[in-house]
Amino acid sequence: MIFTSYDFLIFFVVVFSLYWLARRRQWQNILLLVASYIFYAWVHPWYALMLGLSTLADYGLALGVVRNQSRARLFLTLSLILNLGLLGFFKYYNFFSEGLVAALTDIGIQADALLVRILLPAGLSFFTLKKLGYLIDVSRGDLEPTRSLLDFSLFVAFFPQINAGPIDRAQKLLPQIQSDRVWKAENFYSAWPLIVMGFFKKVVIADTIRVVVDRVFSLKEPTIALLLAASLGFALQILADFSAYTDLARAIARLFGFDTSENFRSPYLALTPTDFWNRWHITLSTWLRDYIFFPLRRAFLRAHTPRWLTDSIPPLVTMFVSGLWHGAGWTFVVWGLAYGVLIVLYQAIGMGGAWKPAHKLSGFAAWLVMFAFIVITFAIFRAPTLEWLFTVLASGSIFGSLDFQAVTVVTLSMTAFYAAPLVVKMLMDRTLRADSFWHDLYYVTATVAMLAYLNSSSPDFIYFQF
Amino acid sequence: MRSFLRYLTLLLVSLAALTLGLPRVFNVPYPAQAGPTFDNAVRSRYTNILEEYQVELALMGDSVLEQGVDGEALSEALDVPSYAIAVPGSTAPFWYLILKNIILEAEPRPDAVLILYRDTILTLPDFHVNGGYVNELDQFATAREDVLIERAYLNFMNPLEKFALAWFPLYSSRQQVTDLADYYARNLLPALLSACRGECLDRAHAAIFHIDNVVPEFQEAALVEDEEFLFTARAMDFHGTVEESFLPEIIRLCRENGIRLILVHERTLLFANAAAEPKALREYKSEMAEYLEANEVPLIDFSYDPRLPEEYFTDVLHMNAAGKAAFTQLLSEALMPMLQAEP
Repeated sequence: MIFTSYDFLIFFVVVFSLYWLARRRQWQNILLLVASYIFYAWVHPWYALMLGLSTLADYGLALGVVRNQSRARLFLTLSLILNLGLLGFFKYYNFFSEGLVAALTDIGIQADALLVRILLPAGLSFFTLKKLGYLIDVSRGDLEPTRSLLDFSLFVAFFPQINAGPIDRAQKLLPQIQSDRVWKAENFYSAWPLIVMGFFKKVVIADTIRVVVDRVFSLKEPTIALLLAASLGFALQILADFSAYTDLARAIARLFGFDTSENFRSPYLALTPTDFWNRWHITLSTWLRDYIFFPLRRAFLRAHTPRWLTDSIPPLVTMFVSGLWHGAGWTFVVWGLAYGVLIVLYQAIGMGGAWKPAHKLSGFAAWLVMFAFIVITFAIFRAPTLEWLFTVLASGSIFGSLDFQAVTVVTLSMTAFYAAPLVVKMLMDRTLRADSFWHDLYYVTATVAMLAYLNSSSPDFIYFQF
Repeated sequence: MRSFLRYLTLLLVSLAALTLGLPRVFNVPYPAQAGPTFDNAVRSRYTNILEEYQVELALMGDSVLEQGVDGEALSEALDVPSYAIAVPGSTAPFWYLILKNIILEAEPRPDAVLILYRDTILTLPDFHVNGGYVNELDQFATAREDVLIERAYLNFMNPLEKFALAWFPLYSSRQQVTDLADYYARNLLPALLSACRGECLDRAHAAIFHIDNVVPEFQEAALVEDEEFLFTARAMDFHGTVEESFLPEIIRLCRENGIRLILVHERTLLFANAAAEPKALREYKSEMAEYLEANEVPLIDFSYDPRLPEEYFTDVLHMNAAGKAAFTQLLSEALMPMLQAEP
């Protein structure tokens, strides 16, 4: 079920009404858990079974870690095998399925491509990281595991977050699940602007620019200028799409009395790669930082490895994992590694995490360079294959024929047109009070535009596939 | 709270203004009809051809028919004047309209109508009816197509959508509004930077994104993705879909007008063999066969015909020249005894 569907509207109204009628926390949690499993099972009921079984296993393993300290490492390893095994299997199934189909065909067994393709469960990458973070924190002694299977199951399956995050930690979400929640008008007043912006960004911006971007990335040989224009369009599409999902997820959580994490803070204003990852998909970045980057760096420091290794290997490995997490494809791996290399290079020239520009001009130059890197790396991310990208770059045609130039200008034009509302909103957020008349006028315009662009067959959010 | 109330007030005022203004701007009735509106011009080119050549066998289908059957060769082999009305992307609603508004309007009418179809397409009334397909349908529709509107559109709208379409011009005029926005979005920079605008941009767009410039694997992937619509649980529920589909109407129109209807299931590469098909699809096909038999509609099934191997295909659906020749031959052999027999 997706947030922008009619099914979800009905589902939400029913769950929301029953939830606040229930009043008692225990009943509210049971209702939310049941609703979360219905939400998740809507397309493929089988996935809910997998979610339930893996949740049950992790619940038991987490309790095992604290009850049997001598076997804590074993329980953690089992959880890692279970979660990474499931993630690896489903995530990389398609990657290997073509080879599998070919191999089966070679030995005379006919396999069907249509059936193979429908097996990837949405949200698996997100709730797997949630569970892994929980188990690691419990094994480190940073978190007391909950004894309540209901609370743990709800933490994992909480429906506003299950498909595409934010990847909230147990330390943030579990205390809220375990606290009484009463309806406050403030829940609604803080949620409605997020709902308006979520729908506006998804329906008006992301779904419209997607058509333009998809067309360019399906061409045999676009020019380099057209590729860059489409990459700029994709940068707009993915930000609008993913931040829309996060806005809607946060708004829905708020309507149920939950405060969930922010995932974006003007990422395209970043001055350095580290700065970018502190602003982009923040809950994933902090997860990777806390469970991969920091442990690796500490291990290197303890081992007294040379400074250059300590500075370069952890970011490279972390960003490699980030790339791999996004999907089974060399484009994602290279995209992740490119950021790893950029982080290492920026650190080497003294522009690491704490870097601040000395004056506005250097700040502007840093932004311009970083924005160019963002767009170029998104070209790698969005490219159908690395071979395709190499072919386009090797063709050497920068601007191409007049037709290509015209289409390039149109692509830039569409991107500028649909980026303008986000730029205006950002400027308004920086200069006007949140309750100003101009904000309300903006939300009215966004709502009207959203109603005009509404399409009953809106495609899924991009991050469902990761 | 104050902010929300101000937002709500401004929104209601804006919507009221748009409700009053948009029907005038776009010259549409209020309340509007739920579902698309068609003009009264039916493309008569096919009717003229059917009449001119006194076609006895009319074939209907999509691009698979276009690329899979050689009309002239079929006519020669059968010694019967035949003509293929192949509309790329067409589905059951198209074939219903073509039958009703073109074939039945021809004088003389063909003796037989053949529909080349695949899987569940004949009982899916909402496949390829939205977006750009509305204009395509308009070429075969009259201004009043109640059955089409009901079966292809109204049956698939939720109450909220029906209400919005009728009473909410911003929603019912959204195609015009977004087309206008799209025009400005496309021409914003060209107006400043380029001499190529308007039609020049359209020509450039058509040239660059021509199908020959698209990576074949992506074409095929898009094709398979599109075809998945035919294999949803709803699509494969024969008894759940047939009565509200266009199949009973097509059968009725043929029967009432003395036209023999022949259905031909085309060969595709979507599944390796019948055993690889989903169980629900096998059940669907069995129920469809029973239904057709009960209605005395002959079915020729080439689904997994080994005489049409993979080498004859350019993708999972379409045939190459060798495939076209082979399939035309096979089709003529299968049709010959049927056409020679008394109806």
